[in-house]
Amino acid sequence: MRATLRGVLLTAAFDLRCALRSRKAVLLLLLYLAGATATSGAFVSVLRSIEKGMADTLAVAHTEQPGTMTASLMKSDQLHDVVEELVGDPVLAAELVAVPPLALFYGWVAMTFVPVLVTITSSDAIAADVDCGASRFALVRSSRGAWASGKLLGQAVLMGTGVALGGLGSWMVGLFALADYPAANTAMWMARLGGRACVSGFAYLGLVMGISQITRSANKARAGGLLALVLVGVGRQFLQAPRVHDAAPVIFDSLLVLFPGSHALDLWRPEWSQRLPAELILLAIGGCAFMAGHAWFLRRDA
Amino acid sequence: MRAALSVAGLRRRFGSTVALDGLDFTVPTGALCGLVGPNGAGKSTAFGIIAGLVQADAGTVDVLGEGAFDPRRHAGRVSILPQDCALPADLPVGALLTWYGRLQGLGPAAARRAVAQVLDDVALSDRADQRIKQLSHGMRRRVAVAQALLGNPELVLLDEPTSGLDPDLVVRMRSVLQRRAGDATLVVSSHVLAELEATCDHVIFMEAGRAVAQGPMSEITGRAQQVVISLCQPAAPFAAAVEATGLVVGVDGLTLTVQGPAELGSAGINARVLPVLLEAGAGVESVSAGLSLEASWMAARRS
Repeated sequence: MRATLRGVLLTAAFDLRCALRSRKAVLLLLLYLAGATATSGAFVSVLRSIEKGMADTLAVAHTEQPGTMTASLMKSDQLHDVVEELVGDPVLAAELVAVPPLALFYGWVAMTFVPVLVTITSSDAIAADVDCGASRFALVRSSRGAWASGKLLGQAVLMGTGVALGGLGSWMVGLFALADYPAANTAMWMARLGGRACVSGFAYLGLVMGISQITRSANKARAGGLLALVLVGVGRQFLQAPRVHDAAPVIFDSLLVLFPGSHALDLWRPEWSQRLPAELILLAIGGCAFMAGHAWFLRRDA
Repeated sequence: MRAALSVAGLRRRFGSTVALDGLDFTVPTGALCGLVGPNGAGKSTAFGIIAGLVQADAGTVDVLGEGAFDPRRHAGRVSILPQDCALPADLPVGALLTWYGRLQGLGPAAARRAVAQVLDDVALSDRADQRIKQLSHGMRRRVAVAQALLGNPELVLLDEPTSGLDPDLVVRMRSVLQRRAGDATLVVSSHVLAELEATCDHVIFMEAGRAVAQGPMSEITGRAQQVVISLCQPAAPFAAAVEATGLVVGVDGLTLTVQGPAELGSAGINARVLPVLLEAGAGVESVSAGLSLEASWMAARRS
């Protein structure tokens, strides 16, 4: 057990080191940073134009730095009603309105794009090593379970690093561009939402790394990962379509539990007791998909 | 003597291609064993199965007397130089080998010491800080050999270890392997039969997924009981005189092949035969103990 854990940690550290030494991983981390920074910049610009429009409408002077009116807007009953109408849950609406707008936006960006970035970064993590034969040097020194789990852990840490970098970029945009910026509160909420984005991302990470163990071709693993991402999205939409869903609601509701996207809204819930089941299900989806691929990997040539 | 490696009835198909068709062989502990066979004989597949990388359809493998390969039991004790496998390109040589050492159970300091030793063995001590992708093909091959020798494993499987190496390094590699034999069991696959003949003390001939001959090099090549004598004139007129010494004689043009009992040895055969030939004025050009490995291989294929 101790040797297995040692193998997992050594492989994860090595995988991370390899990834950071390769331009691909560095570029992708920069992409996380640049993506979050650019979208946050765009969000701030939108805020600025909205505030300017509001100031013109109310015939009051507007400031160059956005944020002042937004803070007032976020506290208004009208916005609370709109959000409650959108999410259909007064408690959740109250929670969302309390979140600093930039953190809210960053959480949405992270939860939306982390699955895509994980698919791009990690889908060939195992297959590429098997494809070029590099896995053979490791697999006479470590069990397949420890090696593959180490790879999963390494990619999970890489994903976490990307999410954290994205959060940092987004937070810095707020610091320089927003007036009345609640820096500490925003940072806290970004950390919370970033963590939840990682939990959501793990479901997809397990899925693509499960596929990566089924094929020994890096190209097929990449294609398989993208296909799975599309199928998981389209499949959920299909099962949720009223015409399909109403035909056998119990069966389709049960099936929908298996789709990571079905649990996305629950990740925004304030109470951990409400959020925990969704988080556990997402972790289980990732873990089970990875294990299913690993069961295949154990029975084939490396 | 306890076998370091034995395989029995090993079978593996890839689609319609039969790679291994009931392979049986045994390698004694401490041997430096050559695995000889044409392309497609199943040598690399056999190595892969022994090291747990390739699945067998049937048959058994016993590694170091402890059953089939299991990384939990054999990590660091069994190593392999696979054929045509790429090392991770972006890491420096020293860091990569240190990681392999750590993965096979060495502590950080022991791993660094082991890396320094194997890099010296393959003449790459000055390249420890270079990335794999900055090395030439031959150097990469040497790093791959180095990882197989890391930490003094008990059983080392080397698939074409000298492929892509220049002649100086081939000689150096031969000396490294001979130094390691005894403490470790080494199984070396190669198409260069002269190299195996010069290096190995045990040999296995493979053909179409089966072992067609195996045993000590002296037995396979007949070194202990056979002498090949080249004359500068046709050998046939001298055969009767040699037969009169009580040995078995074969004639082929200018060559006499003389066989005797194993206990006599090649020196004993020479002592009996050479005086007879010299007295008869046969004109002895060269004398060698047994057949070359190449001739033995050809003979094994014919039979």
